[in-house]
Amino acid sequence: MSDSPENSVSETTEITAPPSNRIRRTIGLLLSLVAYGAAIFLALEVYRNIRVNPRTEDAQVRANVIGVSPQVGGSIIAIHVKDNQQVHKGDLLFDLDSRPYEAQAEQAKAQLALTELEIQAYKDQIAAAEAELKQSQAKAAYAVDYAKRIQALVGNLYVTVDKNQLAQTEAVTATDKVAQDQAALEKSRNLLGNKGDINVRRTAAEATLRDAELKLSYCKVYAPCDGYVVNLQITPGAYAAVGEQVFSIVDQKIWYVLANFRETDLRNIRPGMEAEVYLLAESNRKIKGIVQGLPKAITPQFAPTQNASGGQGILQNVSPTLDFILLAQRFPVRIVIDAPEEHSFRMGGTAAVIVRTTSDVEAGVKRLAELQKSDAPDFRAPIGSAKNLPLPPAPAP
Amino acid sequence: MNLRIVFSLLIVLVTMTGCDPQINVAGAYFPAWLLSALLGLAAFWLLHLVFLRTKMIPFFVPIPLFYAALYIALTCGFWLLFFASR
Repeated sequence: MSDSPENSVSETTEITAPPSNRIRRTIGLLLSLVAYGAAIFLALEVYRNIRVNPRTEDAQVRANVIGVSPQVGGSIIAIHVKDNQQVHKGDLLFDLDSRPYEAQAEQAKAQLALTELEIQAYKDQIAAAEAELKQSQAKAAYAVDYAKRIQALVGNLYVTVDKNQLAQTEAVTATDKVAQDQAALEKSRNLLGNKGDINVRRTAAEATLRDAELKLSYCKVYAPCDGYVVNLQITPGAYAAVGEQVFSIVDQKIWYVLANFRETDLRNIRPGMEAEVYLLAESNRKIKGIVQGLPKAITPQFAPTQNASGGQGILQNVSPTLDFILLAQRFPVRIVIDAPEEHSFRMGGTAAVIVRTTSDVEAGVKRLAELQKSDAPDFRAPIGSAKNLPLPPAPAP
Repeated sequence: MNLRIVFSLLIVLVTMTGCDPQINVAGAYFPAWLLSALLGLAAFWLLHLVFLRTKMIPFFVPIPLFYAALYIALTCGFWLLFFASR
């Protein structure tokens, strides 16, 4: 029997003769103590690691999705994109039948031309009214003077009382005619519709034309952002109603992961913390994310319809029983992906997330602001125009 | 037999370079702790064979507690080695 004790476990396999029982007892005791110590230390280390870096396997990839819907109704005459195709902001997606809107725009244009003519007619009317006023003013001046002269002769009985009364009446009539013509002139000026330097008739007609041209331009539907076409399942001929989604575009700029963390983990998570995201479709690739925020509300599990319409009124409905074991509620923590271009994100994909609570929060918040900043100018579709009718140049008001 | 186990363990070590918390087996995702528990079990069995060969088993105090602690230590150790976030 050899007396050489072996401390290393792996080397003991090569031993031919086992050590004595006394040495075995010492080694057994030592190994036992090491095992207890290791078990306690490692278990605590695992607990600490999970507490410092909370993780969840209950996470899903999300993106911002835009439902493409026309702002005017009409049947689709051409679709310029295919399902799953990448599009850029401002790309033409589809055309609606624009004929009704072209007609409306032409009508509005004609109306504007007509309004210009009307304005001219009202101006002529004003000129006529002014001439009329001048005429009646002259007549009134004469009639008043004549009445005065006649009045002076009545005492000497050079004129009859009847002639005098007639002159007085004519003077009153002529004066009233002046007031009447003045009112007529004022009415003509109001009908022209000038408010200061602006002619409101023309403004209204121009606004109608702009509205019609805007509607005409809505017949061409453009991509509102860079992204991917999804769920395109129609062909030309389909009727697209106002505000009704025809298909969707997934915004490719920002990708999120909604990670459902247990409420017990939320205490340590703050916006700006770094997160490790693992897409299950791309396993073993660590993707960097940043915690964007924690939700303040989810639908409560108990008595959810308390105040809702058709609910149980304003009183709480409390269940008389309580489960013996409660499961931690999960809250969706929104994590923004840093540099999503390098990875194949798909909305709805499964992910696992580990949040690093010891990371630099300020740097994370700064990076988050960079990621969410929108530097591209707003896109507005170009406004079309009614072609066939040349617009008369707008004269000065 | 021991050699075969060591070899298969080595293969597992080489293939698991990342620390993805989910293990994909033909479309089913298994949690990392489950793999750690299985690895712990394999290592535990390996050590048990060593203890059998060296006739050490009667000298651990107390035997059931020692074995429980050994299993916990191995499983936690594997988890920390492969799946802990650093």
